[in-house]
Amino acid sequence: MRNGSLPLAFAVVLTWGFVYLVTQIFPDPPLEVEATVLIGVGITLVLTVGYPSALRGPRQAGPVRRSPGRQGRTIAAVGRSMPLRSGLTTEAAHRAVRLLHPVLGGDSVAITDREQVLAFLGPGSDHHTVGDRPQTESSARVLAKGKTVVVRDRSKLGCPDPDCPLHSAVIAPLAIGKRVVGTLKVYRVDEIPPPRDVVEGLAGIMSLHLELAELDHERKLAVDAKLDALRAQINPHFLFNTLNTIASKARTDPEEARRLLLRLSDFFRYAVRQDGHLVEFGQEYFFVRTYLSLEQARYGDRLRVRYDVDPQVLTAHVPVLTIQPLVENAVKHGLSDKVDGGTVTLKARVDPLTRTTSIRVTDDGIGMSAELLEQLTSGDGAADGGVGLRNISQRLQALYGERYRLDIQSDYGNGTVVDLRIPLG
Amino acid sequence: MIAASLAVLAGLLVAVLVAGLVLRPRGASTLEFYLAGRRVGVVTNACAICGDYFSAASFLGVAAAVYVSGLDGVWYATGFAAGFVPVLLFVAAPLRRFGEFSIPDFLGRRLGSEGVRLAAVTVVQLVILSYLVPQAVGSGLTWELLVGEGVAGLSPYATGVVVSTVAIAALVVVGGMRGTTWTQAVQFLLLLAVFIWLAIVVLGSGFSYPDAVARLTENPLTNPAEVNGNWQLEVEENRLDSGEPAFFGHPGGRYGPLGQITLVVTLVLGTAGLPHVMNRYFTSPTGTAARMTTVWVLGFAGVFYALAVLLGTAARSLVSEAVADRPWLADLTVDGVLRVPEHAPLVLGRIYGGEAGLAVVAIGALVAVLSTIAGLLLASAASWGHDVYERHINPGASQRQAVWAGRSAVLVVAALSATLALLLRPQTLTALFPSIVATMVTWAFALAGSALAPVFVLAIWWRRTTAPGAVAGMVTGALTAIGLVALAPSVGDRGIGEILLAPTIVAAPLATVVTVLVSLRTTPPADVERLWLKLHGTAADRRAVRLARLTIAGVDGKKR
Amino acid sequence: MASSGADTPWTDPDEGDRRVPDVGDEYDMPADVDAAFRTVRRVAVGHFVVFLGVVVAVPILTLTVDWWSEGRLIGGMTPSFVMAAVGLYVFFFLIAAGAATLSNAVEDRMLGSPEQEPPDRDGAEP
Repeated sequence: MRNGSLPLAFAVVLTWGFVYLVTQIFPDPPLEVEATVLIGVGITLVLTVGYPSALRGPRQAGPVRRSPGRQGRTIAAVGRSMPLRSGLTTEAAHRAVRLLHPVLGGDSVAITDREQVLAFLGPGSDHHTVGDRPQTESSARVLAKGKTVVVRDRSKLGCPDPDCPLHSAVIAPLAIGKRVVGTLKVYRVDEIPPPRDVVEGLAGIMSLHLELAELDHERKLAVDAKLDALRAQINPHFLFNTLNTIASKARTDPEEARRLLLRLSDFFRYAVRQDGHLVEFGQEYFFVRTYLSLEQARYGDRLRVRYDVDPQVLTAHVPVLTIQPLVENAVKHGLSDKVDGGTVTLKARVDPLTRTTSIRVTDDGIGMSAELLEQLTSGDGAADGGVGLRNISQRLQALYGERYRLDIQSDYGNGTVVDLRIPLG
Repeated sequence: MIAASLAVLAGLLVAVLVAGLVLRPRGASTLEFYLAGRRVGVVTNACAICGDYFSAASFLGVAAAVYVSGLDGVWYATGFAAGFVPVLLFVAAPLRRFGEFSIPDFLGRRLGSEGVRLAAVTVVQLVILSYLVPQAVGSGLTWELLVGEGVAGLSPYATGVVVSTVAIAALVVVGGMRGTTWTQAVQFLLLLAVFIWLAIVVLGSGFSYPDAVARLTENPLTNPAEVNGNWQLEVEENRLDSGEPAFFGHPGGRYGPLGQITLVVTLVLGTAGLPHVMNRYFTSPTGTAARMTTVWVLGFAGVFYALAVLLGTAARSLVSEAVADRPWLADLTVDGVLRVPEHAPLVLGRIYGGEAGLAVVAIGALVAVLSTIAGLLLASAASWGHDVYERHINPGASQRQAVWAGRSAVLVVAALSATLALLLRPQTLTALFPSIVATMVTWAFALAGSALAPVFVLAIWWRRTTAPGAVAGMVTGALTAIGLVALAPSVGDRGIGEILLAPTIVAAPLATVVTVLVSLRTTPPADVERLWLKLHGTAADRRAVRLARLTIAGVDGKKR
Repeated sequence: MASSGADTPWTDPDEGDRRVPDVGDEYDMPADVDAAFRTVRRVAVGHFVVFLGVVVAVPILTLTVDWWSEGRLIGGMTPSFVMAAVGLYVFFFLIAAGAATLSNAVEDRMLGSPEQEPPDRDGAEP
């Protein structure tokens, strides 16, 4: 996900050199200039367009596939009452296994998530117990690649128990979008594996339900964040300090006090109004600057602010209410206790080639101790008045899956750097 | 015929004067006089900027340069148009947001120094003067060809110079900026209409642009030259490849390897320092509007110059064919090539439109000259009246006195430029500098680009710029530019001479370096942050937009 | 000016109404202006480099690539003639329009408060 412009520039130069050699030096007589230019431009275009997708890696075939066939009617009936709507939990998996066992055409049925077996029903349940790690190496393969695996051979099934009655299996991935979150396993005690398309079809339906569950969860998280943010900003640390500042200016500089009040109202209006997940960076930036100007009124010259914003980033979409908490942490934990104050820097960039938005919040404050860092990242930070980083990372996880990065570096005494990279949308 | 042309001319001048009178500012506040009260639409203002900017150098000079040297002559037009790109990128919006009256006022207030103001006034006056002279020359040449007779014992050339200067000085004194904004816009539309008409009749007569370029390029480029008192055609030498002839459609007709680049740099940087063009930006309502105005200007300029190049090519191709059955052409040409290249568009007009056609093109040329002179005189008045008189000569001056100071400055400057134009009769110079009008305008650009543009851009984009730095930069730039141009005749126009004729490529970096070095050794104004808010902030713009909305809402409300 | 604040009605943010704007409320914070300045400078320098590159490329192509001066494009004009007579003007206009639009958009988003549009503009999916 690093900046990809340089390698591309290099590749383009190389291409033109190659085209020049092939069309002008080797052939005799050399090719027409128009043709050469056309070839060069063509290859450059293909390179530029294809490059970002190459960086993102090959597209995986969607794990959801329709599976028409004899069992179609039964499967549809099962799909409607699927209990996974509340997410991939032990309890839900257990109910799902019971419901599915009759239609899957196997002897044993299991559901796992990435770490453990959530439910197991049928022969072999004596040693395939709930809560174990998935033992077979084939399930590890499914989890890694996200493709259905059919096992016909007992030895390949890889169960460590020599008395295990299971001989063959179909293991299908359960996926949310492109992210594999678990597996559906159907075993048989004989050599003929269960019908693959049926298992895959049901795994697809279950995946859809999981995706819906995830969306519900995400929405709930976003609401949480909104409430969190609001709660955080209503707490005495911020609101009372700001009100005090305004009160003290009301006499000396009424015009300034009035402006601060209007800013405060802008601040709350923004925090309350947001109801989508994503918003233009320009709007988040407005929120950040409103916040920082209020803090600047309070801290005076001790708080210096520096923004470094790419023009392209202004229209990029970012998760709502994400950047201001990072900045607030920088002010609260980095600068508020430093005697001579310091600078908060917000740097926002877009890399159009790798389609990445990167946002970096830096302060040259006192830095954080390892415990505080731990406290912030583990979610207890919310109690301290900030929006916990964990809340942010959960929302990012819900929105982008594995395709985001949130790095925090802090040296005690040297300030903190928070680096956020999300896909450009 | 002479009577008819004179009648047309007189009618036109009267119309322009009347427009100026009718639209003249009500109430004599300085702001009104100089800046038309600041509310001028984007397109109107773009047209007015074009009217100011497209002078005789653009109307006659570009076509003449293409006529003489083919492809290399096109570079004048390119440079003239390209100049607005840096203006848009670096100057337009901050200038409007910060400035009030003139370039010296802008620099003086930005750097908090009267020294800077006076140094800038000096440079601005020099630029205006060196821009005014070629305009007066252009009007003299046009009069010579159109009327061919002097009035009251003057030569035709002198009559043209005097009449145009007097007329336009009167217009500016009476009308002020509002008069000239509207007339300027109308005048530009007139210029454009003339070119479009010429292009249409030329193309309508079966002229094929690509074929003409191809045909003209078949044989070497030849131009008339006076050898031992006789005019004869001489083959132009290729400046890129000595010993070889130059061709119309190929480079080398005018510039060596350096020439194009030095010329373009000179024209590109010069535009940002032209007082009459920059002053127009103060009439935009907001910085945003100033930017959009520049985009429109670039659009208009593109159309205008593309047509000018086409007409230059057409003249080269068509005049030699037309000589055979038009005896009046024989006097102006040597073996089918015009002696004075500036005549090219005028001759085209006469070939296709007869006497009336000639009159139309000549009126276009005069209008181009007049509108540019008006803009220049007004810029001069603004800097004298506002920056010198009100600030230094009579600080307690009333509005009325300040306006009158500006008006008298107009008269003085106009008289000065007319005198210089009369002294510099162009025929003595044509041998060294083909297309004299365009060449002389280049000098004004060189001065503006060397002395004003670097300081301007630094003051806008670099917080550390200081008053002593700016003065040092302006002085260095101006002296270098003048010195190098003065050296040029002794060196000729080859090799190093190409730099001397368009010295910005040397002088501007020098001025920049001097400004930076001196600035770093002195202390900047204390309240840079406050100035920055005004220079780069949009609060005033937003206030203006809101106010406009409220006003519109109020008007609508009343209607209901 | 300061007294004009008293008559500005406060409306509840959830009511969907914005307070009546007061012309005096428009002002800039130094840090915001500095940020916008920096970003606009980035836009200006970026466009200027492209502009300079293209303008300088024409004479350089003349000196180095034969096809530039010898080739034939539209009905017998050389590429360099086409570029100088028409192409560059089109390019100037396009680059100017692009730079002006971008700079104005940047200033619009980085200074002042965003226009209060109906909330459906927010939260668009990527």
